[in-house]
Amino acid sequence: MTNKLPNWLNAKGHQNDIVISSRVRLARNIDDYMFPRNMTRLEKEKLLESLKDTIETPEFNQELGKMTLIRLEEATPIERQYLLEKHLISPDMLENYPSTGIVLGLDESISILVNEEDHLRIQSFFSGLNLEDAYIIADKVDDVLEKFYQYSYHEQYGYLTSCPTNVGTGIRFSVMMHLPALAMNAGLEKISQGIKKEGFVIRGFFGEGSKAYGDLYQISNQFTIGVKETEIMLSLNSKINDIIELEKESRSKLFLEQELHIKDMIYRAYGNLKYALILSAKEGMNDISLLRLGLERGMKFDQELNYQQLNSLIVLAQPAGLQKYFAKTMEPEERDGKRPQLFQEILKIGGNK
Amino acid sequence: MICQNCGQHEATICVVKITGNKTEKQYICQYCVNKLNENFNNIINPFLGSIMELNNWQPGGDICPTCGQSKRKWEETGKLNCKDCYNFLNISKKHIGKRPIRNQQELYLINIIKEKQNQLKKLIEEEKYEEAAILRDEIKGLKENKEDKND
Repeated sequence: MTNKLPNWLNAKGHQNDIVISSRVRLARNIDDYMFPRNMTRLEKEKLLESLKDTIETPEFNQELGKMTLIRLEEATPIERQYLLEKHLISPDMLENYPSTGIVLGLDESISILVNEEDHLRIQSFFSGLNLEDAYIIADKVDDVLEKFYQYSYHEQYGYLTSCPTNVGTGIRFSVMMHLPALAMNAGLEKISQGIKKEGFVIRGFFGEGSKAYGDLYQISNQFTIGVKETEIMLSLNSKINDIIELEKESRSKLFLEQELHIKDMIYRAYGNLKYALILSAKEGMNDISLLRLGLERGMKFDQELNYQQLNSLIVLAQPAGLQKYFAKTMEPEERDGKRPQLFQEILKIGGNK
Repeated sequence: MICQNCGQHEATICVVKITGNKTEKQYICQYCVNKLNENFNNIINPFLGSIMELNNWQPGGDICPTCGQSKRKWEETGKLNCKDCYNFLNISKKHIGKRPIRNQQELYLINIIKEKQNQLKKLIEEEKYEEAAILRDEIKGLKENKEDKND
């Protein structure tokens, strides 16, 4: 399995100072089988085998390039955890991984989950705010797969999904954003209420409840039926742009009214990463968040920072990511002791050496 | 009760097998019944003297004919087991987004057939029977084409 970092972290997309990535997910089921929760192991294996054959056909390769199927049972626990941390598989899939698989493209921007909640889940990731391209490619993968499988579809209900909350288009648009200023001035609650009326939800990317650590939030659509895919996309795009404006306004206000305070926090985070000997994932994530804010506001650091470094740390600071980076299995305590080195190497800052 | 054949799904059917003087009873799920019907149709052996009698017993409420899940179970768990379970639901909204390519082609054919049928009606009214016969054959061809696409 590759150690490669997903392409969507490359920070080359639009608005990549505040928007980290955009994701589109399509849920599809096929007529030949009942939904995964009601399939026998044999049937699941049969479907996996079928996907393996499908992606190896010349027709598939011509349209979508080379892709490989990874059976989750054949991966190590760390590799599975790494897939979760890269947001390619869900916590549910991690827990129930037997007879499931993931089809991955070379740069991991396209993936197809097999036997998760639905037979097929097409996923596409792009860096920055780019729902259009993410949708176009997911749509294409959908069209290609349809040549090989008969989708479960109903004239009134649309694409039939195992959970009725996805029925219809089976589509989920999600955008990952960095919103430290809105988190600080408690502006997120108001945003949450505002977007809810239009059928969107905002939740912390890491952790539940109050403050999401790393100040990373995900905004996605709630409704999937009675609307066209492109309508949802345009509406979400508009909302995201509104939120970007609000965040930037909040940042300006913050730097105007509490300049010393916020700059102090940011430079302390930098110092922490440079000199700490023990660093938990949570602390590291919070420090990255502050650095990212400082970078966007044009603050100067000893070493020049860029968004790509900060993005890659979002993944590599996590338990499996860290162990993959150092190619070593480590227990939590050892990881916390090694994490500073990861940060120092990626950010190219000196440290205690 | 769990199906005595596969041990996976809920048993909703009682199969009674009578061979000579011996009577066997087995409680199995709808899914296994479907498989059984398949097999039964493939094995034609009138000399075996075995008859199969199927009794449907319903523990309560509606049952999905494909997977055997009961409506009550669906209401309790909120989980659907197969696409036919959607018959339990009552969704007011209509899907207006993307349609599978297969369905797009089918809809296209349906519309063409309708149009030609209207033309056919007109030709008959105008007593242009020769032209009507040609059009009728055309429609027949399109209908067969549509049936093929359904496979």
